[in-house]
Amino acid sequence: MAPALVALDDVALDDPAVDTQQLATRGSGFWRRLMGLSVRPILLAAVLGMLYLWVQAQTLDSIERRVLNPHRIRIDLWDHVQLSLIATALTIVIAVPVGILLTRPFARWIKPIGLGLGNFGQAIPSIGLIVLLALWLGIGFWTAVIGLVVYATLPILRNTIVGLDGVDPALKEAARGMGMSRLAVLGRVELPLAVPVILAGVRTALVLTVATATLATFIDAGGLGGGLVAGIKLNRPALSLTFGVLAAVLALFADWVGGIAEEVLRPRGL
Amino acid sequence: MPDTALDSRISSEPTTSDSATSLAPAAVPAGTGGATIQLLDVTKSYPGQVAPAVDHITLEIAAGEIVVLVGPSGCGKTTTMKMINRLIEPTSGQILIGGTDVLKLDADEHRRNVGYVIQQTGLFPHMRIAENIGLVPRMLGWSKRRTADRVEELLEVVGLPPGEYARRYPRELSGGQQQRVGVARALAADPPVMLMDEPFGATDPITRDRLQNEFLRLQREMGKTIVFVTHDFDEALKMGDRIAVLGPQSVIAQFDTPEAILAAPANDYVSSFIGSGGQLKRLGLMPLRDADLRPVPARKDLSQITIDASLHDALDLMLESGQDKVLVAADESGEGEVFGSIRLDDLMAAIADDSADDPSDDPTAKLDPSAGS
Ligand SMILES: Nc1ncnc2c1ncn2[C@@H]1O[C@H](COP(=O)(O)OP(=O)(O)OP(=O)(O)O)[C@@H](O)[C@H]1O
Ligand SMILES: [Mg+2]
Repeated sequence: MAPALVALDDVALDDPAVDTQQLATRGSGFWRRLMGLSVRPILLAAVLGMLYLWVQAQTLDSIERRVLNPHRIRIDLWDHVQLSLIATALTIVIAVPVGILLTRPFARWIKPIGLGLGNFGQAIPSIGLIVLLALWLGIGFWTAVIGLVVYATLPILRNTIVGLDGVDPALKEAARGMGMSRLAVLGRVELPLAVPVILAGVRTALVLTVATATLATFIDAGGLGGGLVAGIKLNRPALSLTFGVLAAVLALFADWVGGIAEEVLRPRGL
Repeated sequence: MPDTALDSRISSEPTTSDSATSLAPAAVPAGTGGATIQLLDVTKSYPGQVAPAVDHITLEIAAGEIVVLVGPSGCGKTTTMKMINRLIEPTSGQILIGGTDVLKLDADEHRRNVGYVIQQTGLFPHMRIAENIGLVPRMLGWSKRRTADRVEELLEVVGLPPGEYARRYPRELSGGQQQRVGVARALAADPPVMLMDEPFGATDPITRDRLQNEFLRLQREMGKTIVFVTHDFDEALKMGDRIAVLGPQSVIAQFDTPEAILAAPANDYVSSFIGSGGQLKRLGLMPLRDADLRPVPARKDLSQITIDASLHDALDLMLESGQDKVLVAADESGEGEVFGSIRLDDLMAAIADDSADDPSDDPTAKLDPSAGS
């Protein structure tokens, strides 16, 4: 048996007290965060309930009834969710690989350019961006998706770069030193360690997309913006209020889902 | 004092023994012994820097030997070491391991066959301990089964019971434990050559001492060829079979056994590195076991010291007890066999003798220094 190599008093060095304490605090932190996360859906449900009661209490005219009915709301909501999810997924597929490329040694010199483009995308007023795209590509769902992707690229791109750059160089060198190829270092060390930061970027992008997707209605791409704008145009505040609250609740819900994803996908041991 | 127990067990191993398996046969990690390392006229110039970081170093390291590179910060120790596993590519020169020119090998393949331990441990925080240790074997194509067995074996060897530690994450270990895992990981695929860059630098003195002892103990069984970097001369004395004292740009000021360097520093630079107490440090390197003991005197009131201690320890005990001689025995308790006695004069003589001698005749020298540069 090997233990002969080690003095018995090594056990004292192990200091189990410290370890269990560490484990305990991490555990409770995890549950505290989950608790925090569980408050959100309850609040959102309460808001929706209040909205429902309030709408029920109103006497709606024919115009309002045409927009404010379950069927129409379901369609708008579904369009909105679809737009946001597809746009966010596309943004991830584009921004993460670009972020990876920009952090490779050979591409460091273009990093400022890449980040600049991302900044540019976000700096254009979103409504202007979407309208401009529509003039160029025509109106419709995919034009709205493209606009949203341009708009949401920056947070994911930036966080991918920050996350990868933030990986301890000593770890990367240890990985190289033990004979991992560059690709293996990326896949097994850099990306897993950057996951929390990248996910934070994805969460930001998702919320941004859900909020911005209200503008899709201007180029006939559907979504909750329709009812909101109709309320303004037809001077029916009840419509604007209802759809505005729905859009806000959806954005907050998306943020909550993002928070859950961060908790679940964060590599253990960090 | 369990610590002393550990130390005495370690030092009770004859230094020269190559069959040091009596204590823990099962713990002997499969032995690929060592391989020679030769740096031939190796230079590294970083782009944009006028002076090379490493200037034409030639260093030959025998198989199974620990060579310590010691020198002030920025002198090029790390650069010299990293050229051996090609984390840094030399600007010119040749590097041979076991006679093979490593600059011609595939760099990744080459690195898998060279153990590498760094001060920051470099453990991957998102991988469990077992996964960290098993990385290189898996890359080398070992089966899951074989890797798992090896990981367990190594965790035992470094004193971390696998049942308790294999499934932990690095952050759930103390600093000293992480260093051990770092060593285990470097040993995983049983590489003939190990590079260690201040591997115990980030630990407190007590833990460091313990890690050093454990590692020396392991090394006696493994016989790896080891390049060990430190800027702590005392660590160099303890760990090195030979020490290369490096000046700026990795120029070798002296390359010799610890005993020889202490007895005859090549120049003022080396002396300044040894610092004060050089003669005391020499006594520390001389085991009582190798000393000529006098017969046991009639006096019964003498203090007693274990034969596993050094002449330095004997001197310390003389000063402490106020007597100019001490008894040398199997242990300190007064019950074990008494081998003889040693006097203050003998210590003086040992120092004087040793300086007069050619260092290579020094009975305590572990390796023939004439093999060096
Ligand atoms: N990647 C690099 N690019 C440029 N110069 C470097 C690089 N790495 C090291 N150097 C320079 O090379 C010299 C030697 O550095 P090295 O890291 O080998 O020193 P060291 O002896 O290991 O020091 P320390 O004890 O502080 O670790 C230093 O002057 C350092 O500034
Ligand atoms: Mg260094």
